[in-house]
Amino acid sequence: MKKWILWTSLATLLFALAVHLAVVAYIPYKAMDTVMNVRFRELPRNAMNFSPPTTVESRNVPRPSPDLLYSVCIYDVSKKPLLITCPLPQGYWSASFYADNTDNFFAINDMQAKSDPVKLLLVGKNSAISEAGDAITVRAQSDKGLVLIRMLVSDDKSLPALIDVQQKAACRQLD
Amino acid sequence: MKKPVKIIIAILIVLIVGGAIGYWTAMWAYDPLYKAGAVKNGPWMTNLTVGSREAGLHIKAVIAMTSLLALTKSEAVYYQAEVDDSGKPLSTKCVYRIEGKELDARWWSITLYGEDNFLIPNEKNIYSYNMDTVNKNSDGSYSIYLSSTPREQNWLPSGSGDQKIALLLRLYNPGPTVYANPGGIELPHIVKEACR
Repeated sequence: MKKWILWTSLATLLFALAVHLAVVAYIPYKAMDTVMNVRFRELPRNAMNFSPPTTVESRNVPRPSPDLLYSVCIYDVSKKPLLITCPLPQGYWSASFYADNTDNFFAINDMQAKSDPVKLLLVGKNSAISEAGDAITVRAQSDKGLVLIRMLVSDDKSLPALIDVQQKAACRQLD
Repeated sequence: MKKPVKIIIAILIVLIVGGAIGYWTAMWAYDPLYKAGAVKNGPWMTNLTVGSREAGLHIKAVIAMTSLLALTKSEAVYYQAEVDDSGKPLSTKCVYRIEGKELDARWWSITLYGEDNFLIPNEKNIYSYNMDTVNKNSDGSYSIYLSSTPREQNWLPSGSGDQKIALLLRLYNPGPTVYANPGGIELPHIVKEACR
């Protein structure tokens, strides 16, 4: 009986550890899936979507910054690569690429950009295409994910000019 | 008890009890585990692996739940505070004075969030202060007042509700001192003035 209790307890603890690790590992995938396919379900894929200035109504992603103007492109590069083109504003700007497990696998800001507009080519994990003109090539960590563009809103007066720049950004599949 | 019965009971115990313990610890322990491994700096804490492939399972889980789409340290470093300088949880019942100086970053901001990790409604629509919007003294220092009742300047409204709150300090394009000593650089103090 003692042996039975010992082995059952040991197996229970090992199974508990396995379940713990599996659930914790699953949380980031679930969070990204919820954002991309539930909260942003109405947004077109492989296209730039322009968020309005952050307010108390901004509840798609936790802890939004009221000091930033966001644009998002939800991508699927399993079949075709994506060309992202963004003109630069006066202040801070960045484009950050997220995999389906929340990893931020690439980021570039306005000070690192070598051209204006910035051109970024996002290719699939196994894509044979590796360049398109003068665009910076980024190889996706996962075929599905999202690109987030951030622009600093230093004050309300700068907002109209920033929105004008924001609306000129594009995200489209290459044929 | 016969051997087959013992085996069936053992399997049931492993699946039900083990599964429940595993699930419960996953849902409730990832946050304490993240905090235990974070770099502390007064009331603030950070983790420089946030957003990266190198981040551990528990860090990724916490970020997914509270700060999804965070940037890696090369672009931004995030410090969060859920307590004041004395270590007591931040609450809308209290008035706090956030005292700081210029920070080693291209740009910084301090934003207030409610328990649900979203902005707190207020009639002034003020949710944060940044290096451009905060009113500074002649020496570059500043005091931000976190309270439910209005202040003349640098007022960060905590709303009319009764809840725990959190501050997030964002340092965009931080300077080398932040990377060299994230637990030792001078960050804003969070001083409790009074509670109702």
